[in-house]
Amino acid sequence: MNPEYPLPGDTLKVLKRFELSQCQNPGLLFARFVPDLRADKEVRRREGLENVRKAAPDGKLLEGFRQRWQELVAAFQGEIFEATTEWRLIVGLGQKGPLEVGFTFHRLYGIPIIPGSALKGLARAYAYLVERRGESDIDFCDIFGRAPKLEETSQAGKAIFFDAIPLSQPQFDLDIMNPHYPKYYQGDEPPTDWQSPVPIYFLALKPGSCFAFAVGWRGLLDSEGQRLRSLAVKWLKAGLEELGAGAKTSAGYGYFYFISPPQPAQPADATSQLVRTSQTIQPAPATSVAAPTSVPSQSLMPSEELIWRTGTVREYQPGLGRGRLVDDETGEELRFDRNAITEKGWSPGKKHKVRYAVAQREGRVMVVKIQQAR
Amino acid sequence: MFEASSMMFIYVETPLHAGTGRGLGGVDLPIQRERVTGYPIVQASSLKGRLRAEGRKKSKESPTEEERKQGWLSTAEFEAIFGPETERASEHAGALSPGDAKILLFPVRSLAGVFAWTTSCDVLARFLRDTEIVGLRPEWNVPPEPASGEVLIFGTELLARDGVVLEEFTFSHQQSDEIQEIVQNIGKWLAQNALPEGDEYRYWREALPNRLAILPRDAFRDFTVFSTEVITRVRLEPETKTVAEGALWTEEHLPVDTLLYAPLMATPTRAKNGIQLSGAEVLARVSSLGLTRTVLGGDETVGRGVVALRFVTGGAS
Repeated sequence: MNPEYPLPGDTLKVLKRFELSQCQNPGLLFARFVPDLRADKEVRRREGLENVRKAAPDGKLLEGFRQRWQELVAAFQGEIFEATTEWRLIVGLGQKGPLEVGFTFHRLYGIPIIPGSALKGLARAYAYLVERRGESDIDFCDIFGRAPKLEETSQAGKAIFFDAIPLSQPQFDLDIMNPHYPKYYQGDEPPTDWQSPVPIYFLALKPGSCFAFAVGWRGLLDSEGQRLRSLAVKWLKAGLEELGAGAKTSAGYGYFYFISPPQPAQPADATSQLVRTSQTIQPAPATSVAAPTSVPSQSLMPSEELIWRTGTVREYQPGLGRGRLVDDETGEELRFDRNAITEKGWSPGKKHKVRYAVAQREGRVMVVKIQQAR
Repeated sequence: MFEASSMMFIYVETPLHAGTGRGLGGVDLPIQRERVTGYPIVQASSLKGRLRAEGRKKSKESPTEEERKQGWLSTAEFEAIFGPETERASEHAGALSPGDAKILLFPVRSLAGVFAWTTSCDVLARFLRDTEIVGLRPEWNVPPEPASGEVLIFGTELLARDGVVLEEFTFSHQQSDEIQEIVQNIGKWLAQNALPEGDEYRYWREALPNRLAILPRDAFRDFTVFSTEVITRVRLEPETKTVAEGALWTEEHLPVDTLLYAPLMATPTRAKNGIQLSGAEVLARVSSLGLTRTVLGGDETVGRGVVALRFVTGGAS
């Protein structure tokens, strides 16, 4: 038995015959079934996180939850879209908890979610930082609302940012932070080389995790409402793609892409299967007032005519699967991601000559194919 | 006086914050609770305000025959049912009176079976008393109060080998067939009569009888007090991406899958605008608004407070 779990005696007795990994609620294990961290802290923390990682949520419950979420979103005139993580994702790292590293789970079902409040903040930050919109802008205020200030009327936002829910069976990675000068950061000593790094384990979602997002609308969804809702969706998508969600975005965590379902590096497992079934998610018809149904952006239509151009790669990060290239004739700079690469095993290096094809996707020019120039 | 009444079941779909403003305890923004028992409630005034807002959305000067069939009200009917607008508030009272929404099922995470819908004999007995007013007659009885540290369940879904582990607390379970049958009956009745009717709820209706856990009243109360969802929120400065000064707060929410119930009572209309509806007609108008979902409490724009509604009228009373 595990005397090092600080739990009531009768619960410890149950655990003698019940393996924690049989539990179907990762969030519960994360919050309540945590080894005593007073000795061997990192070993124990790792053990606690391993338990969480092994706990597989109930697939039937996930499916039931998805259906309910879909109906709920439709009732609030929601536009649904899907996105997949490029690299790891961690939301809620800073939350307090017995493991000292946080993670946002659905409170009851224990599956990872991205809270609507985080998504609203992300869309707002994108509009503010990149598009330079603010509270003097009418569209901005209609979507996000306006805080009460002296001599100005406040208003509630009309867009509803729902929690994003996982479409694939959630899979966790154990990750580490590894401060090399721990005593320096604690303010005790200068950053000297004789300090030993102590890796701190934390939980992150694996790359290729697929989520469904939704933005609803309060009040009448007339043409103006539709325009604003689309704008909110556009900002949220751009935020997910360019600013990233959750923690550690400056280390590459939390970025999403929309083009096609992920091609998992690992062999076909539960993830890929669930991702495929999840594509049946569509906003329920009829209930919303003539809402344009959102079509999840998928891979190329076969009939589409592609125009090929040549360019030079400026930069490509295989880890993130993203890069930039410059057109040889126009000097225009374009971004691409790994989904555009069709040849197996090839990854473009700096100053590589390439052929590429672009297409309009949701009002933006995107590189849809890229290959080695011959 | 009231001449008709019905029951409104409220099923929480996203965390619900029906708040009281500032709190003095560990949570900055606590939820509404009953003074005596400490159980969570949603105050009647919140419910009436919400129903009124939904009624106003679905009323117009003179709806067509087609719109009437879809539940639209005329403005005169709307005022007769919900009362006139504030500036004419002294003219007459509205005909609809909701009661406070009280707790019936409170979900708690479980080591086996993901989560349990918990309740207590006290709560069930009170519910039976309230259904009597409404003329609903559930065909089940309240089981005997479980001993301290025991739980009444049906089946094995919540069993982690020897006991039922809710959060980190273990309860031993009653194994008598008689008790099992009572619990199963209650679960089935609630699944059929109280849970939302939509197709998307099939999974939950099937799950309820197997995941119903009747707890000793003290344990149930403790869960409703200490096991609500407390969400920590921050506001970031967009430029620096650090937390804005003073912008860290905690909010208490009723968790997803909580089931509440509120009686709706009605008098004949009192308006002098030519509309005369009996109490039963008032309730029929309200339930035919077609409200399957609405929002209660705060934080609507981040998707909180969505509830599924179900209106149930009793048999002849």
